[in-house]
Amino acid sequence: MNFFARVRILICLFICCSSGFAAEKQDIHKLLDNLLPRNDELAGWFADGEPEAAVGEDLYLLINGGAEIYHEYGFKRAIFQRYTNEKVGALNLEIYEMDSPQATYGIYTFKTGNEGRSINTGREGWLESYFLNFWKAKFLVTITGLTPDTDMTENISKMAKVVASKISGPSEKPSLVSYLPLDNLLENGISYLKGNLALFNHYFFNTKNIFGFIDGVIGQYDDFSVFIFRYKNGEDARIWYELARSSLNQNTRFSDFFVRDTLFEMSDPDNRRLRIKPYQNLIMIVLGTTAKQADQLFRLIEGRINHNK
Amino acid sequence: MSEVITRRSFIKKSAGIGVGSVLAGNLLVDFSYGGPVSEIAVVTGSDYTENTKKAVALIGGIDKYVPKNSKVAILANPQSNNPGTYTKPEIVRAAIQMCKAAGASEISCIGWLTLRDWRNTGLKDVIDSEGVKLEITNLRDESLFKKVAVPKGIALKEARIIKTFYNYNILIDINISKEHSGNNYSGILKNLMGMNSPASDRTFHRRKWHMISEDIEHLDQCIADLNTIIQPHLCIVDSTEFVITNGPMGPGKLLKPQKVVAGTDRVAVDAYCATLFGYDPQNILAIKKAYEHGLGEIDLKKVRIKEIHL
Repeated sequence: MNFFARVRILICLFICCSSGFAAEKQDIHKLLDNLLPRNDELAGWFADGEPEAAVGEDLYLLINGGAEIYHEYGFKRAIFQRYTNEKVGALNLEIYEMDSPQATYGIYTFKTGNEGRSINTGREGWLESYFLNFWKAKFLVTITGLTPDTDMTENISKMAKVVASKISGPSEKPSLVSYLPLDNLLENGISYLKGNLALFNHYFFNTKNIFGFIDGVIGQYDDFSVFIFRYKNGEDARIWYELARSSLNQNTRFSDFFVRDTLFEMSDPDNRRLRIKPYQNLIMIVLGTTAKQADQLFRLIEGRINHNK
Repeated sequence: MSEVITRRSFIKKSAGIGVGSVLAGNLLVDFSYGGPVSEIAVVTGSDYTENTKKAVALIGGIDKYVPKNSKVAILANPQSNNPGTYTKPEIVRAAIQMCKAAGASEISCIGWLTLRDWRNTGLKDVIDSEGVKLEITNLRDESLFKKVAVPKGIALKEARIIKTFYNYNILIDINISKEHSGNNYSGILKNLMGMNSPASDRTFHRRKWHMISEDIEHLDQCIADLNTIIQPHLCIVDSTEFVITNGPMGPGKLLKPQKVVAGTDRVAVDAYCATLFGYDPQNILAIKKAYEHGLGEIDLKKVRIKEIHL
């Protein structure tokens, strides 16, 4: 192929890619606009101005540094619309499309706390004092009341139901979640992780990625926590276990480090004991228990892993 | 704790550095925190305008920081309109009113966030009703940002500061303290990213702008580095109501200490505000790295804290 033929092909590829990207940007209004409630679907509420939208990297222009965590989970695109009701106030509606239901579940668990209450909307609708999150298929929906000192929860819930009714598709959770012991698990106490930034936000092991997991899950219980990290295979899990052991042994934030049998343990700055153990293609961590309780939990998790295979 | 910068010497030093730095094309370069005594004021109460005015009064009054005929740039945070994520309009209003009373010849709110952001947060109404300027730099036009070397930068070697900033000789940084998913805490130090071009800010997060999970500290180092080239003359933090989860944009769980914090030592100010979240400032990497740059005091035992309840 001569030089000019190569240039022609490159130009064609560039045009195709550019037009594809432009088309994707236009599609956002076709797809995500359809999820926005119309003015006739919510009595008294009206869209306030044009919606704001972002595709891929442009999420940064919409929410700046807040975009990082969405990208870690697998962000595709988003649309934001503000609604006003002259008698009640204003609401923000945010709809995020992620690249899989598992990614959507993950960012949902990142954004929701365990102070709130469950509502029957979408998957796991969760209403906190002035805002609501739910997920369904590949969409995370967040609705926020903007009027201080006004109970907006009824209006938020109504809007959520309208949006949820417009979304369809499979909504499977990551299989890793099923490995967590269920007894005493706090309501909404599960966080699903896709990277070190989410882990850093939950627990500060290290700013470096010393665990290198593909995905992970944290379960919060009454007075302890369980972490499970997943790897491609058992060999990878063992390699990362050794790296983490070496790193944490040298980390001055942790103390009373020692290795016993097939695990290692240490105390964190709050004097809670951490026990870390590899198992098959996983690393399991129990935080805040006695050695005996930790061993019981490890056995329980191993049983659930084998049962769910 | 023996030497205190006097009002006269402070103004003289600020004015001298301001003029010299403008001529050098790099406003307030190397004006790192130099006093042996850090002093901050913390005022608690439900009237946030009064809290702000009282906090500034406790550290010497606005005249100490805004000489007559100053041209004042105010850097507020209108990033999101979710509760607890943006600087409250009452606090910006108080700052504007104080600057007017001090005889400032020009007062502007500056930044590159959009007019929509300023409107949605109620800050535009304050700016209009107080009759001051809003200078928004078009975030997509890199020619409106000035390339500035960061000689002491460890991770950041060049910043791109909005050019209009160099039309002013006093900077008042007014941020809200809030949780941030990228580095746990956002306050005064991080707010300077609001003057740096978004294209440059993205590099704080490395490749394109994506956070590389192997290097979470890179963001904090860049924030600290950026602060080596710009020193606000006065820092005011809105710690009245803020998100402690899902920052920086929210919505998230709200904490309402009803405090306004003021000072010139931004490390001390951020260190104090971080404790309101229950954080040890040593664990907030941006604060720690700014301290390591010599920009202020991280150890609150060495800070004179004047705290009152209204």
